[in-house]
Amino acid sequence: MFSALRASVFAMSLLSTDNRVRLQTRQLFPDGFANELPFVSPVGTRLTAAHFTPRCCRDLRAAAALFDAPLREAAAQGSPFVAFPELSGLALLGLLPRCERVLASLRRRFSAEAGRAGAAREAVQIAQGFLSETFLNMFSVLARGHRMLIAAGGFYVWEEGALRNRQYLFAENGDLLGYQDKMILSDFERAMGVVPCGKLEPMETRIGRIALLTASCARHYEPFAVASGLGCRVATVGASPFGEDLSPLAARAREQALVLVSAGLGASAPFFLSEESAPRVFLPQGGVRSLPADAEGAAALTARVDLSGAPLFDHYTADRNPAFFASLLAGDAPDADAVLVEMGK
Amino acid sequence: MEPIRAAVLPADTPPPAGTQLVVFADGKAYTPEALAQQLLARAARYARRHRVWLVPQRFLAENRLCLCLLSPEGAVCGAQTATHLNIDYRAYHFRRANAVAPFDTPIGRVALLVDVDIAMPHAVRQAARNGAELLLSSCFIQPFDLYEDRVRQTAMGAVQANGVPLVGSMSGYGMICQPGGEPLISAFEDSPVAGEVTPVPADGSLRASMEEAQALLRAYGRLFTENGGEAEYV
Repeated sequence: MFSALRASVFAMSLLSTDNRVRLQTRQLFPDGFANELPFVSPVGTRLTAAHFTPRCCRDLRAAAALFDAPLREAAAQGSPFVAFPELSGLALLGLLPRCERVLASLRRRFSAEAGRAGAAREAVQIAQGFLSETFLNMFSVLARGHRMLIAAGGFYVWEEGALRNRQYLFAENGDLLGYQDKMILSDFERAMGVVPCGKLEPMETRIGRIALLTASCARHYEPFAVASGLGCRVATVGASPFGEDLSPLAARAREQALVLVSAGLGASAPFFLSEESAPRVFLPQGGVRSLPADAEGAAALTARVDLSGAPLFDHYTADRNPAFFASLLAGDAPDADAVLVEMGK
Repeated sequence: MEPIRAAVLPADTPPPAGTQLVVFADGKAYTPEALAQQLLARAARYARRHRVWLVPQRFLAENRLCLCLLSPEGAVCGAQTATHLNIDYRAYHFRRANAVAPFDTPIGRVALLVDVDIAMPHAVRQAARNGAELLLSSCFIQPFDLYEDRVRQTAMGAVQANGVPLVGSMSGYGMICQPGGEPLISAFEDSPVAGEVTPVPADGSLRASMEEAQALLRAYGRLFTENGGEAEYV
C-alpha cells in the first residue's frame, strides 16, 4: 500500500536532510541573520494572520519561499507574530516527486470511510520523518531569519501509539517553544482515528501567553474559556482544510476577551482545497479586521491590537457562578421538576 | 418535529394569524414579586384567548429572576430561574439557579434562558447537551447598551454553537434563528417579528465534539469552580 508515497518520500528524504533544509532556507536571507529583534510594546502590537495557499514546489527553496511570503509581508509591517493555519506542514507533500499523483492516490484512499483509520496510520508513519525534519528545520531558520514568533501550523504525527494533529510555535531565535495537539476533532479526523488531546498548554512569549487552537474549536466556548482562564490574551484559530465554520469566532473573542488570529487558506487544486478562507483577526471589543477588497493576492493580514488593557468589562456577561460550573462538571442532569417545586408551583 | 410559527411581540399585543408560539418583549427590567401573580394571570388569559404557547416577561418569585412557558390552556408547563445575573441585579442579592433544565412539551424539548443566560455560552451549551430542541429566551439590556450587533452576535453565537433553534427577545429586539438558516433579528417598532422554526436537537457530529470540549473543561475545572473570577455572593 502507498507504494508511490513510500518511493517519493524515500527519494525526498535523501534530498532534504536537516543541513540541506537549513542551507536552502538560509539562502532566503542573503544578508545573513542581521535583523534585530523588534521592540514590542503591548499598546499597538501588530499581529499577522497568514493567507497561505499550498502548492506543488520544485525544490526546497521554492517550498521555503512559499512559507516565507507571509513572513516577509509581516516583517515589512513590523509585526512580531505570524500565525499559519493548522496542517500547513502538509504543504510540504508538494515537494514530493510527481506530487499530484501522490496526493490524488492519498485522496482516493481517504475518501472511503471504511479503512480510513488504517490508511491514515500507515501514510503518517511513512511521511512523518520527512515532514518533521523538513518542516521543523525550515521554520526554525525562518523564525531566526525574521526574528519573528511563528505559530507555524503543523502536520499529523504518530506518537506513542496514537495519531495526533500537532501545531508548533517557534521563538524569535529559532527555538521550538512548544506544540499543541488538536483538542476538538473534525468528523473526518475522527474517522481517521486521530486522538483528541485533553490538555491545553499555552506558551509563554514576548507578547504574552499564546494558545494554539483550531477552527474546530470555534463552536465551543470551552477551549477559549480555558485559554482565557490560563492567562492568554492571544489565541490562534486558523482556517481548516475540513471547512469548519469560523463565524462564531467574533462571539468567542468578545466572550473571553481574547484576540483571535485566524490564518486564511487559499484554494489549491492539487491539495483539493476548493474554497478560499480569508485571514481575519477578531478583537475582544467585537471588531473584526480583514483584508480590503483590493488586496487580492496578499499573503498576510496584519492588524494592530491593544494587549495592554484589562479585559473589557461587560455588565451583562461579567457574572460568574462557580456553583453552576461545579454542578456542570459534576455531570448532574438538571431536573426541571425540581426547579418548579423549588419555586413553589 | 413539526415547524412552529413563532412571533416576538410587545406584551399583550395580539399575535399574527396562525401563530403557535409567542415570546413577549418589553422595555422593563422585570416584573416585581408583588405583581408577578397578576402578570401570570394576564399571560394565562392571553395564552387561552389566542391558543398559543407563551413566554411572558421575566418576573421575580421567591427572590429569583424567573421565566416560564405557558401552554395554550394557560397552564405553567415549565419554569426556570436565572443561572447568571446582570451586574445591576447582583446588588439586589437575587438567588441564582445552578443549572438550566430543559423540559419536554408537545412542541419539543424546551430550555428557557432567563435574561443574560442567553449571553452565557456555558448556560446555552448545558441546555443543548441536555437535549434541548428549542431555546426560548427573554433578556433585558439597558437602552444605552443595546445595539443590533450585540443582539445578532448573542443570538447567532447561541444557535451556531449548539445547533438548536432560538426564539427570544432582547429588550426591543426579536430573535428567531434556525441553525443553518438566515436569522430573523429585528427591532419590532413597526411590525412583530414572526417566523418559522423547527425544534431540533444538536446533531450527532456536534454532540461528539461537545463531549471533547466538555472533557477539556473538566480537566481545567478548578479555573471555574474555585475562583471563577470572583467569590460566590449568595
